[in-house]
Amino acid sequence: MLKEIPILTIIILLPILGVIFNTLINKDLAEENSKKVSLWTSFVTLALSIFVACQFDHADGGFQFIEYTLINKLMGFEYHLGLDGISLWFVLLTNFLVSICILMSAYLIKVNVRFYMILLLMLQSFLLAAFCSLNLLMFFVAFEAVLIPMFFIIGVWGGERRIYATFKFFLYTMTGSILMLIGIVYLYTQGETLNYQDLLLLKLTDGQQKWLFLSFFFAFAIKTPMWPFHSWLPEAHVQAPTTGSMLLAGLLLKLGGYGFIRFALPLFPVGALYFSKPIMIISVIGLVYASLMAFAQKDMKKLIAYSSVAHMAVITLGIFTFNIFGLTGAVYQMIGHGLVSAGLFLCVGLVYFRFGSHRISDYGGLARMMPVYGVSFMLLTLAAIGLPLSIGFVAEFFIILGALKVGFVWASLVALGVILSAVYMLSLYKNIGFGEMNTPHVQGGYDLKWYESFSLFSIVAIVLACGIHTFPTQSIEASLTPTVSKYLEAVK
Amino acid sequence: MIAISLFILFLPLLGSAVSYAFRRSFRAQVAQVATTSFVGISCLLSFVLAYTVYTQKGPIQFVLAPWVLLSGFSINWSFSIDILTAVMFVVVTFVSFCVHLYSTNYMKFDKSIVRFMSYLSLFTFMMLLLVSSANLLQLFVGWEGVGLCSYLLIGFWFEKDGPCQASYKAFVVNRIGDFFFILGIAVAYVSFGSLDFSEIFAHKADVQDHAAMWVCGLFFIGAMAKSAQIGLHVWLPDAMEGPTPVSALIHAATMVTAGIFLLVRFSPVLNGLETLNTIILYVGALTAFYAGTVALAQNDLKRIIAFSTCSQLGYMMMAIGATAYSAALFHLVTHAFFKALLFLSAGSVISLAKGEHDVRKMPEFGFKAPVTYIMMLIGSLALIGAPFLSGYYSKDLILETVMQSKVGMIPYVIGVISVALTAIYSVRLFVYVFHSKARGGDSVEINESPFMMLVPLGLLAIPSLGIGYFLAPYFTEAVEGMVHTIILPEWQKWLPTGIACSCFLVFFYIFYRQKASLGQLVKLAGPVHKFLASKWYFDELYSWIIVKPFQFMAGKMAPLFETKVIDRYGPNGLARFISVLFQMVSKIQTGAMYHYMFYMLCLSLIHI
Repeated sequence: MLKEIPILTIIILLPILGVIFNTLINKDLAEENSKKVSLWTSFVTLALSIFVACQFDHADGGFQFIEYTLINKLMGFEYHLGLDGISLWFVLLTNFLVSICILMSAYLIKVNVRFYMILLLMLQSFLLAAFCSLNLLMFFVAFEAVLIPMFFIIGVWGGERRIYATFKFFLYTMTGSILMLIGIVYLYTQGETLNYQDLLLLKLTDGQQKWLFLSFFFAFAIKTPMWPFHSWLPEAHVQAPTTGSMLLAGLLLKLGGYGFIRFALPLFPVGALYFSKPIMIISVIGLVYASLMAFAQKDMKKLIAYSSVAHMAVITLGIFTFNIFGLTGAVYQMIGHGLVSAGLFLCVGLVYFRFGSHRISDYGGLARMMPVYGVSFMLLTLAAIGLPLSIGFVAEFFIILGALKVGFVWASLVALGVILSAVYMLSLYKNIGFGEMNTPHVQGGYDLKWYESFSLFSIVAIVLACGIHTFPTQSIEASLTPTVSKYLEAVK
Repeated sequence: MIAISLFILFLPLLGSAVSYAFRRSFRAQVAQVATTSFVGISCLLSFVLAYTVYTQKGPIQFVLAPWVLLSGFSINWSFSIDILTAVMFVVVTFVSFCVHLYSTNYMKFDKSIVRFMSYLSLFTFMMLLLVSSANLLQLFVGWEGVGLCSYLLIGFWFEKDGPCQASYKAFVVNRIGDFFFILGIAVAYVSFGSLDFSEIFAHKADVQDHAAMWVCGLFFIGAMAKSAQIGLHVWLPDAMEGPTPVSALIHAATMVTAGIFLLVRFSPVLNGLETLNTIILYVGALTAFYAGTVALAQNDLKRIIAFSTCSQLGYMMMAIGATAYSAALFHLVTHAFFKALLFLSAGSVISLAKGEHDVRKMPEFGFKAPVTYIMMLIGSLALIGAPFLSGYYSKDLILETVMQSKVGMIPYVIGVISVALTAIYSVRLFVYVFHSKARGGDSVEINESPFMMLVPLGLLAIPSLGIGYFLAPYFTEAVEGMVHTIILPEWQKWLPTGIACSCFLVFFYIFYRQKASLGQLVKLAGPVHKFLASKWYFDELYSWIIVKPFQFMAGKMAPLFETKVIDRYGPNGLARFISVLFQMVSKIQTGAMYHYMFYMLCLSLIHI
């Protein structure tokens, strides 16, 4: 029965339906109705995707729920969707985080709520399209389209330097994308197709693979972001509104890692292998560098932004170990980091909403003033450090194992994250959660409202659940096995 | 039996969760009773379990639930209850119960007492998880869990700066150890092909020595951080910023022995590695000596005991280096009891002295608080190894086995010197606290601590006095099964004890009488005293070689690089480059016809 329903299309188009409803709302009732419509839309989408996850065959590594329509043969443009064990979790992550963000935006955003909701729903739709698409051109379009709502979210509701931040963000990512577009066009001239499953079978020479890999690499490296292409991220985060930051860190960055795993690695194994060592070195530099930067920040949001760079560096290192441990760990860590960093940005946003400051030195003693907030922030901090029972621990351990298969030095370098993350995250908590409540800025704070604690604790609950029983890894592994076997061939 | 072990494990967790979740709904007393009684039941069940395991001879193993699902790497939540686990269960739950009971009174006036009790119970659960786990990764969960609880409890009074800094330091230093430990686990998986203890031990013969060496070496560094061995001990003295019951439970009796436990657990692999064992032996001996000397010159009551803990952990490490794992475990057990007793008595002293920590400023105690006095005396005597008290048996066993081991002579001598040091700092502490009249301490009214605070002291005093005598035959037998028969001349058997006792008596006289010569001695030894009082300048050293460079890199170098290199040549550079390019292009468009003709000519020439 399910086979006949285009369920993925429905999931992708539901948010667009929400957008349409939003535009039809009468002006007088715009705000309230817009919140309700958007919330309902996102919840239904989430419920549908959970339903899909239940129907999903986790032992099968191939694509499921495939939909295919040829649009234009000349350009290789097809409407081709499918889910495998990797994209399934990203779809769930997207729907979950967007739901939380809409719930939170309903009261964190004060002006022009309807437009904001429209942007969030558009973003959701584009992200889902990017994660589900099995056509390279379609992926590229969705990958690029994601920028548009984010551009407006930062540009309209951002902080003081939002214009500079948006342009930096936009230019950076566009530069990478253009290189990827060139790569895609070249790939089309070689294979006369942009269908992902056909491309996997395409025979490319080693030289071609190297150049194509490089062209894809820059797009994804900037998106991830890898050192030294990261400098758009802290700026964008600091200027973005809270929910914008949550989506940026939680989902947009994951497009980079997802792109590596979905496209750059399986399509160009020789190229990826050729550049693996430099990329791993860059990752290690990025890990240490971003940790140092995070430690010295005076702005909470910047600190968490740099911690994202550090975590993503661990992920890229895991990806380029090319073994099942490293890759599974990387995907799992992406999910974990998506949840945790979104939660941390929400924590920062909640105190910003109350006291109007991002400066660390303006805070102190929040654990005493707002105990529930203190607990949830502490739990998320510990999850960011990667303590056992959180999703990050298992993921990090996989990555360390994967790196160890490459060499002991790599394992010890990537394990440095174990120490460094504790150094900067606990320093942050010490400065804002502990200490005395004597700063003039932090006065009269009230503890979390039910919807705030609901949002934070639902994130914490998932982080814990995935750490205590790693149910996603089974399907992730199943879907990664073909890629890994390609590498074993490429090594030979 | 499985049910019993599960009850032992999860009752403390239940107590912790319930009391924390309902901390607003119920009165504080409910939480106190709940946590204490749950741990109490756990403790009773532990005795039952220990008896069953001992009579049944042979471990039981069971799987609770799946954890990590990856083909070829599936890990379960699995438990293995053998005699080692059973002993640890008894020790942990018993000391924990005493500390819970003590805390209900000691922390009575703290407004966050429920949070405190809840953390204590959570810690107990994590420690039990650590000692009962059947695989390395799960052991690491307990390992990190106890570290986390230690962090939270050191920083329990988080409004003050001292506890905040101390808890941060403790976490980060422990994290350095964890770095090595997690690497060790990864290496263990790659070389042994499994993380289950039973499979690792079954396959140890197939694994090359240097792989086993790597694994054990990495574990040892992890254990050094947790068990405060020299070099990575710097967090332990600072951890005394936490409430005293925490120091008793976590930083004396249980958590700090987790490193020792790990190495004992891994002993089947560790056993054959001679080079590493020698290193461990020396590290242990050095730690025992180092901490003993530093304890001589400290003035903070709790810090003296903390360094004493550090020193005793050194002894346990020595035993592991001498491959006498049962001796290490024996000392772990006796030490847990008498050190907890000592700390809780110190807590009683501190609360009677209205929060004074400095031993030089203690009011005149004398015999005004007789129970505390006697308990402290029992604790101190057990610590220095007075005959027939618990410490005597375990410490002697360690020194004897060290003597017998191949590299034995130097560590043995250091160990015996440390015995003397132990006696001296213990006696100094005791006399300074209780007989301060001689130094002109204030004579103030002092009443004995409340009854409920003395009960746990009494409970702990029983094993401190007698457990050594009762358990010595079993442990000696176990050691002899492991190493070889211990034959020592009679005089050597009594040497450490004799030194300890004579030091105790001589220095009791010296400190009590306040000999003027002592003051002169300290004056003469001024630089040495300063060196010891500054803990051999470890903190300063680390500040210069690690903390300051790190802060410099983070605060100065990295931001400079970010703006001057990445942004300058990255996005801003690109933007500038493009604008310069377009300026150049626009210069070409002069509007003069002959220029355009020239371009056309050039292009056609290129084309040809």
